[in-house]
Amino acid sequence: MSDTIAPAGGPGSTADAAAPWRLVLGLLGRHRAAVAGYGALLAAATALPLLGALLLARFVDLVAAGAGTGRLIPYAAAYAAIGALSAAIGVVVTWRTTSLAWTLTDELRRDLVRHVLEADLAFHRDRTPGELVTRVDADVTAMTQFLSRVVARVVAIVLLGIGAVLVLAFVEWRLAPPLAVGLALVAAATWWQRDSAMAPTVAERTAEAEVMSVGEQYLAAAEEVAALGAGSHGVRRLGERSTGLVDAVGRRVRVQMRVQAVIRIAVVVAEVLMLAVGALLLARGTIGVGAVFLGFRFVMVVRQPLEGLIWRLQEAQGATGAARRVLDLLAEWRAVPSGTATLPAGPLDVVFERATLVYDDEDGTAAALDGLELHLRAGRTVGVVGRTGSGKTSLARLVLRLVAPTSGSVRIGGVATTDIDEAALRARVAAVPQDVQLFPGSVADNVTLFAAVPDGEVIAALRAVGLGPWLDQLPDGIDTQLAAQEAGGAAAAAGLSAGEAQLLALARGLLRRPDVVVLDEATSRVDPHTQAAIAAATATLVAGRTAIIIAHRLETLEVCDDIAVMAGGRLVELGARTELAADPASRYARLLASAAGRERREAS
Amino acid sequence: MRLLAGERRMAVIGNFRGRYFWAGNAAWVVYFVLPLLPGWLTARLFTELQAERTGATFRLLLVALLASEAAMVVFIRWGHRLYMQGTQAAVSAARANALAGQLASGGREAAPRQLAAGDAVARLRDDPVDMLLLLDNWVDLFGSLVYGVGVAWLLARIDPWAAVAGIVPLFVIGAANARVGHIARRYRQRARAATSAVSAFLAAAFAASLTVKLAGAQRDVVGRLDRLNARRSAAMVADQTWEDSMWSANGTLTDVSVGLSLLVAARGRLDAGEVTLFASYLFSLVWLPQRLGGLVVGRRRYEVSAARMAELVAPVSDGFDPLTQHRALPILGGPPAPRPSPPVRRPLEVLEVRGLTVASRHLREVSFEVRRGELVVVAGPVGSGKSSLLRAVVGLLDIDGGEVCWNGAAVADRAAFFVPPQCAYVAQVPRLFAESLADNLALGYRYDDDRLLDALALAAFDEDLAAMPAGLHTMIGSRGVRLSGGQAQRAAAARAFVHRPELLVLDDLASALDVDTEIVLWERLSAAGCTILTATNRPATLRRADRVLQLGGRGGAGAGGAKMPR
Repeated sequence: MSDTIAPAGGPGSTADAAAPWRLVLGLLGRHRAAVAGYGALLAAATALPLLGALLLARFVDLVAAGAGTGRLIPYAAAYAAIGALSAAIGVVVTWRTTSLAWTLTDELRRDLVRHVLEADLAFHRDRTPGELVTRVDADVTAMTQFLSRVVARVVAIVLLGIGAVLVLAFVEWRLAPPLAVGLALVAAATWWQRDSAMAPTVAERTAEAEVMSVGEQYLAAAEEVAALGAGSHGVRRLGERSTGLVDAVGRRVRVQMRVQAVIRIAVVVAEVLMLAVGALLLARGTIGVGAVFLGFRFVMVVRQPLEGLIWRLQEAQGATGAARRVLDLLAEWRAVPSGTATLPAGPLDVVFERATLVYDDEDGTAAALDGLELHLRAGRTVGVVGRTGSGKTSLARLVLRLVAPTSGSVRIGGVATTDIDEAALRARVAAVPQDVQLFPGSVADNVTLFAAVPDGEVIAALRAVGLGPWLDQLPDGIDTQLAAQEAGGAAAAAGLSAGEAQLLALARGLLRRPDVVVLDEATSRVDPHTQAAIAAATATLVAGRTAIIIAHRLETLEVCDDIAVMAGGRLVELGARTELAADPASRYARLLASAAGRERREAS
Repeated sequence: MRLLAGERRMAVIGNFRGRYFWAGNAAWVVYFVLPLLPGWLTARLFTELQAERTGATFRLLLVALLASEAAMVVFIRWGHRLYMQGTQAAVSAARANALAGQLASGGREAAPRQLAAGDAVARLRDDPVDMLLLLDNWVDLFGSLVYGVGVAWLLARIDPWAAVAGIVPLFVIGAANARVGHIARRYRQRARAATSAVSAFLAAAFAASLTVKLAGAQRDVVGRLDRLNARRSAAMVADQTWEDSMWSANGTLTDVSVGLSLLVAARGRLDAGEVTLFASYLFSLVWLPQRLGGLVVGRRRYEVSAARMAELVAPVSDGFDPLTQHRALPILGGPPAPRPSPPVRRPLEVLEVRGLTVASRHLREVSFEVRRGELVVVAGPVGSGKSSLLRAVVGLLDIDGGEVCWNGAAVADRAAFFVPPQCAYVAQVPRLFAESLADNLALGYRYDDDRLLDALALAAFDEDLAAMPAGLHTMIGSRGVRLSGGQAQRAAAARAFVHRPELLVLDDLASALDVDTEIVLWERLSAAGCTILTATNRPATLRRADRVLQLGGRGGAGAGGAKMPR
């Protein structure tokens, strides 16, 4: 696949540790005010535990001095009150943190989805929908967790550490240096180890994605696999991938626990340092036991949230991998770029000028289209016929600008497709595909693709394509919810057969009132019984429009004005359908004759 | 319901690689208790400090503190790996069981396939993990309890009443936690449902991405996503905030009990070491009520996840719990998983369908027969139930009445019976896997390359194969060659032909084929003497048919067995 832009690094490669932070900073930049308010909240949340430690140290001094219960009660009560306040603020912090994190990452999700939906054929050929769901949902959710659990905690711990040193500098300045040195040691250990678990964490995520990819593929094909008695094959595949995952988990944990060990030993060293220095000063009589207690407590104040954080560090590392994949996906842009030209009003003609198309991912060098010259006049309907591989689908893709011609040009209404503005192109050129995908949503949503369209128009479009009787038996009419099932066998479960799904796709096209329509085998799953209705619907859809109908079955082409016969990526015949049919020497007439002859032979 | 039924089920799953799982969990219990030692050492250090003794004993205690913490770190490094691998193995076992239920051809393992693939994948991914967390909650609680008993004993040696004053409120907190657990469950359920909605929508949007692009509907689709995202984020924030409020409330009340016990203890004369002991031990006791609360939340979460997983597997019956089975899987040195094992071939003389009724698909009293070597075509308009009829015959759809007989004997479990070598089914829109062409054809059955090549030739795929440089080893799908609709259909046909089944059930096989290819295909099948039941309206097929079964329109399924002359 030479056309794929190589990602910045494969799984497990030297990953970019700054990636999630860069992404996070970019997201935070959009919400400065919210972030500022959040900072103030964090500062308040930081001050309280320090105050609590101060009270406890005072308590120790008082107890050591032999104070009575009466003098101790205010301290104990204040301590409890601070605990309560601290907890209340903690809840507010969580609430703000999570909602900020989700707001930010939902924006990232929407950017990604928009990006994916803009991308063209080459992009989608290389990925399954399941893979993309993992990117947009699982990976971005890893970012959400990273923001809400790791970033917020890291900030809180750094604030606590700095606050502790400052407070201690005021209360007992002699102990501030050992505290600062100890905490700096902890920070250095954390910084040193921050990336070590990244490669195995990325490997684990990749292994998990593989497990899920197998699960998704086999679940989607569950009926066929069951009918072929091959369930154990699916389970075996899942087992193989799961084995890889369990091994990957083992490798990740080994490294992760080493990281933890380094950080925790640094914390203990900081404690011991504080006790040793405190003991020295105490032995000289410069400070009291309460001060040593305070210094020790301050290490503990940092240690407690840090203990929670080190179990979350792997989330940071997971987020690093996730962020990199998200950034890769955003960086990968494989759509034919939008132009700026608009299209003239009224019917549009389509002209191919020496259009050549070579797919750059194929090993062979044969062109899918080889210098195609073809003029499709405005308002006429042309049927394109030819064997598999003759270039019919490539022709359609060029008109729809799913690919750009390798050389030559394709002009719609006189404008080269590569120059046309995306919105203008999509508003005027519609496609009805062979495979119809349904969305979880109402019938109306599925016809309008979530655009705001009056109900009457939706109903009219459905009736125009012959789905009236189907619509009438739905419990809630066009508001009936369809389950999230793909077309085909599973569509039946959604109350819609494959043929009906194709009719629905015709209704989608009809509703958009385009000037150019491309039907690529759009009615191949519609049976003869609805053929008349379909023919009428197709006639309505193509009337007054420039239409390209690609079909294997020649009887589908009766609505066409012209016929273009393709072979080997070239046009080999073009003419009015009736004239070609009447001329026994034409390729189209021969095709008709051979199809009829074959059917006669079959019948006899 | 049996006491701790969920816990027992999870223990059975945990047993899947029990050595890892239980050793890992035991390590965690030990790890929870170990902090008693550094806590006690710290207290001793402060006792020494208050007495202004900073000599050899002090230094020794300092070294011991360092050593005890280091020992803990090393211990849990070993234990956590066992725990994680054992748990991941158990999660994998549950996932394999759920997938097996979805893929089963009949039998007691077979589960209804009622969920969209995206939804099912989300459940496969998250719910086994959440279910197994239940045992984690117990391990955490048990570890904290043992630790708590140790703390109580140490504190009671200093001042029994202070210990009581500190510990009793903790149990009050635990009880309070248990009372509000259902709220957590509600929040969790809502968050899960909202997440599933987002995933399902994304899956559909990405599957339809070209349709969306060509319709210029990106903005509207993203608009719908925004609404689903907003609902999910609100549910997640509520869930997270509630969980955190529970924890915070517990922490606060623990602070209060520390204050209380310090006051009680201050009646006597405490030294700095004893204050340290009280403060640090009671601080770590904060885990106890939190873990009680955690267990309550965890049990609710288990119920939610167990209910979601139950929709993926067959119901528990006669003590057979499909989710907790231990199957052969190569995980952590286990045996390789078995390949499909075909039943004994039972040559087909006649297949009879009598009075078959599927009310929801408008099929009423459908009867017809297929004799050896015949081509029987089911025809009828869109929505008349052609596909449903085929799916009902081979057992992919439950029937409300009637029977299917093989050589005169009624088939009890159709899904189990209609598999190769008796029958092979090809769906209307077949799905292939991101594996090699050979693996796609064999699906784990042991067939040699010649047999695969024969099947491909029969399916008129030979020319396509010739164009593939890697031949049978060509990778299909997202990481290899993407097949056209017609190629996929023919490859799927070959996947069925490879078994040389007694009966081929083909759902509109030729829908994506051109007429030439279609004719070649039928000629080859006919020459091979296959017995075929197919649904289609294509004239080329209908003309070859030995019998045509005409289904009526929606609502009135006239099911005559109109016989056509050959």
